[in-house]
Amino acid sequence: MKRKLVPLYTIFGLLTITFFSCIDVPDPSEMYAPSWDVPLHFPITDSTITLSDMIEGDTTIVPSDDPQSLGLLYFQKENIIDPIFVDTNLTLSGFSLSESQVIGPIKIYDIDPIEQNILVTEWAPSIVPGDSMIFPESESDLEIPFPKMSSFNYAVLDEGILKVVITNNLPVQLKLKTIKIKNAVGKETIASHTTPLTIAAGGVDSLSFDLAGKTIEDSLFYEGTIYSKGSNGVKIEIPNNAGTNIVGNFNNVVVSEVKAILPEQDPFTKDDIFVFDDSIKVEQAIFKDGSFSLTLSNHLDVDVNIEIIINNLKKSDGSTYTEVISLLRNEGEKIVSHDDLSNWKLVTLTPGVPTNEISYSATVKSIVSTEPSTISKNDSVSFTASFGDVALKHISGIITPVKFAIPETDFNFDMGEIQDKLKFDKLIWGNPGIILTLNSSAQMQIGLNGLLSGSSSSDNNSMSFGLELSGNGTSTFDLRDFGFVDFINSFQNEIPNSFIFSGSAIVNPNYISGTIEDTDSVSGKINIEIPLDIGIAGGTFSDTLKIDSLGVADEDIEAVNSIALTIEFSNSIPIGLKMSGYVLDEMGNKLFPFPPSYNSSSELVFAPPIVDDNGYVTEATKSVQTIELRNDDAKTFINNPNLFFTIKLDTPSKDDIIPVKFRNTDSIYYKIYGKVNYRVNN
Amino acid sequence: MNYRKYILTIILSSSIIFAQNGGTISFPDARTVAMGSQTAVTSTGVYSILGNPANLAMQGTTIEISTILPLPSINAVTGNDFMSFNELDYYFGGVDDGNGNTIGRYLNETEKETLLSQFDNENIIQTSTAINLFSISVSPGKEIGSFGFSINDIVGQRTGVPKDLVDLLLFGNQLERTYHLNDFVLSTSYLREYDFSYARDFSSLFNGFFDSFSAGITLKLVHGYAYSEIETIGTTITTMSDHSILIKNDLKANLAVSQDFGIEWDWDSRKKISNISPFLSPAGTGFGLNIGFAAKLDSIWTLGLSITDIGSVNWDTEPVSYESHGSFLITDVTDSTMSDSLSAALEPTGSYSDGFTSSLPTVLRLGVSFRLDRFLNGNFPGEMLLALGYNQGFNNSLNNTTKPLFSIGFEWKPISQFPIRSGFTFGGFDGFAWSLGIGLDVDFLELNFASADVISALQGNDTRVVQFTVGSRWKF
Repeated sequence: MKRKLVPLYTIFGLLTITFFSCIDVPDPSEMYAPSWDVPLHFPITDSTITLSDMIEGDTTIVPSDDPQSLGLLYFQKENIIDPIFVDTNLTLSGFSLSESQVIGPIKIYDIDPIEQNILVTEWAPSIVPGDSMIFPESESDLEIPFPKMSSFNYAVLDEGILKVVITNNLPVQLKLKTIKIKNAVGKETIASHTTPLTIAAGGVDSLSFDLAGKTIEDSLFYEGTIYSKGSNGVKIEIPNNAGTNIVGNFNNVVVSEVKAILPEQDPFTKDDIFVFDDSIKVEQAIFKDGSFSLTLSNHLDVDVNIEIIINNLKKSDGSTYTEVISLLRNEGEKIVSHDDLSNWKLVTLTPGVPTNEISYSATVKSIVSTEPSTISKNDSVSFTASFGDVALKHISGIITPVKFAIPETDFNFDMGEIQDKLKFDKLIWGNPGIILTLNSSAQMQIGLNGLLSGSSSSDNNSMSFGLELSGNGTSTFDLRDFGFVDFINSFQNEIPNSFIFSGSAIVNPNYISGTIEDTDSVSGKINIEIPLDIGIAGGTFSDTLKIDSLGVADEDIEAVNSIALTIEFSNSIPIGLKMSGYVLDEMGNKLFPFPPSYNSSSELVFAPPIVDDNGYVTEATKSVQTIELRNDDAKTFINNPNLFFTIKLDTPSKDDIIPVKFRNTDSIYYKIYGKVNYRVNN
Repeated sequence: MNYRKYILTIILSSSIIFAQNGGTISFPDARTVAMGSQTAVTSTGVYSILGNPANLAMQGTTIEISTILPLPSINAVTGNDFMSFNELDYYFGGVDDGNGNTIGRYLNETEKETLLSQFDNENIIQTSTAINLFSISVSPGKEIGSFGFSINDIVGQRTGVPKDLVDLLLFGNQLERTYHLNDFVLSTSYLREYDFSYARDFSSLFNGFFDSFSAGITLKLVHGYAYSEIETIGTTITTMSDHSILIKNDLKANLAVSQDFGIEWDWDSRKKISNISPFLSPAGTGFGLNIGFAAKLDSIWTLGLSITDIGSVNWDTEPVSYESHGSFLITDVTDSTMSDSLSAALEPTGSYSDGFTSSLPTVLRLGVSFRLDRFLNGNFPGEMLLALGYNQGFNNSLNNTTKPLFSIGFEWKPISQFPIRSGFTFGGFDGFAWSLGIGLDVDFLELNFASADVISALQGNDTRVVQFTVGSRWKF
């Protein structure tokens, strides 16, 4: 029994040991995951992108809502033209007017008559007044002074009559053989009668003497010969007042010069006009600033008050300019200044009829004095009114065309990087335009001579144009009407990227009536409206696409064996594309071509769609292409997803280069999917 | 004819998948495992608590205690049904790169094909461990009856890998093909059961019919500390001809975890504190019942019938449900919104649920044992106990199967202290198994060792399963 049991227990013992030791359960910590290659298909993207999506957020490119060109994309940019203010360009040139006014005939106090009684005893001494006696024949030369006149010291007369009335108070006939009236001092004869004047006894006779041109002193005397044949031996009563009475009356005296205490002279007024500008006619001109002065001189030997009225010059309070200036006798160069003419106005005195005349009056009034004045009829009072250049706030009327320069306004046609990187053999713009919108606040025509200069990096061109703003309001000008299309298309090889708008403006170029303020201005804006209606031949666009990282871990990149990307493309954008390039490292060095050389094609080709005669897309073109990246190329690409690419662009009808139209609804449908061969647990 | 060789040949050439005990969260003792799991008749003494409580009344000792000393009672199994350890080592053991470094093996297309062919419809990876923390049975006398108490921890996981998933990983997503993931299984469980048994002799009721008849009942209080299952999964992945990828997702998973693990859920902002201890707060509680009957026809024949693990666990302490439903078509990986939508559509959404119930692995066990040595009137070396068994699981919960298990086995004690045990099982989790075990049985101490599938052991690393059961009990 024991011998049988021993082998039996031995067997079972061995089985037990085997049971516990023959299974080597793998230790999880010493397990190594296998690696293998697995192909994975994955969709990358399935999208349609329209041009509207591409330009989303770009406010410079907008679709048209014109039913005739609905959806056509426009590059639109608005640039503001800096306002051009009339401001200091509105001025009235300075001017001056001078005026002189003579006093004319001088007014003197009335001249008292001169009277003298020649006693008979002065020429017939034997005669005793009051007696009765025979009056003998008598004759004598006499010089009988008259009493001094008070009216003047002397007077030079232009006109005047001296009427001498001789009364014979003798009972005998007299015969005045000569009669002369002479100045007592100068001895000039002012009146002379050389033929005998016979006056009957007790009779009266008169003589008139013309005093024109005579200078009469205040003291005169009679010089003459008195004869009487006597009473012929008859005893006559000799009156007590026997004698000869001579009275001289000055009549119709016009004094040209006098020295006298003068009464108030008659005011003398000069009304006149002065043309201040040949070319400006003012309905109303409001001054902004300026100054004017009056310079007065009194050449009279008498104090005067001069009243100057400038009828169409209104002060700031609206009143007519009136100035009363007192001048002393012989006072010269008295200046009255007005240094602030703000809100003064120059107006026409005939509403509706502009004027370029200053209407003024100057009235001189003498002031009575107690001192004698020596004054001549040709003595005068003069004044000069001088206006400096006046800046105007407002002028209505007919103003001289005022020219002023328009400051340069520069603007750019910035299409961003595209402009720098897009090259082409030929580019034709379908209908580019610049809309100039000008706002003028002036109630007056403004003419604009504009100059538009454009430049690219290699070319400069310019176009000029003339515009007219009819008056207050907004005027819009489409420079297409002035040759803008040809101007833009003159840039053959490059899109112009900067423009300068400049020129000059002329206010009232046609010299017609209007109104302008100094605050008036011309402002506006330049709207660039360039439809994406272009034809491109031989276009190339190069750029570098840099992506920091695809976010793929290094170990995952190493596990990639190959990648195949398939692109299904449906092109409804009217341009054909051919794309090729290079994969770059992070330093920008070229690593290998893209697509790599082992691909069937060295470039990706996306054929243009079908377009109609108007340049609109009618039918999309479809294509399918695959790009394969093998081994290190695949790893390199994922590690360095940077691409330098060149896209060749040609719009349809390449040979004819007919512009095609890009609409916001034009689109690209692209579907990209891939297959990657990936090593799991690499 | 050398039938033993013939039989051995058949056995060795068989592909053993799982040699289980017919399914139960309770674990059978090493003696029962060695004989082929005729639990209804072969579980005795303190082991009756779990196998057939009626057998407590037939306990030959007064007190039996099973604890961690001298040998803890453990039943452990790990393995899969698609790849042996040698194959695992081939694919995952690494290779020398020529510089003395071990690296992962590169699989060429042929090797990938071979690897894929290992997988079929189920592809289960399963691990379970049952530990008896403490058991005691007391049999004071027939008049009083017999009592038993046991505390057992059972941890198990079961993972099913869909073949389509492996195909997808190895060969990528082929165009115009749908990959089905509805075979994906992921179940885990950590339970502790407190068993209270009572058995009594009812021989008097069957006087003249049975030499003895007993009936017993085990009441189980089950504390669940962790549980997870995929309730439904109907996910498919299809790569269309245009390279878009259609994912249809239909997933619902249930989880319940003891609060003491301190797991924080992303929708719950509360801070959880980990407090791991031997006595965790349960995430679920259940009750179970074992009912058993045992009858001795005579000194030779013994019958046994038990239904074990009648009951369920109600996971109601902050149970969690993760769901994901919907379909999603990936057409554009560059669309960031798509990736967000994809995540939203596919990523399961978790929330506290109203709770769920998991069934205990209810099994009907029938057994017959035959004392051959007694039948031969002692003309047999030692004692020979033959046993037949039939186990029928009523559900497919973790560690259970509805596939019936038939078994035949023996315990031979050429020397009473050294029993030799073996058996054959047919059916159950899968196929055929040859169990084997030995023991050491002295009066006061019994040690037992067993393997439910000795062929796997003999296969060495060509096996796919490792299983062992050990245990000890003190007898007074």
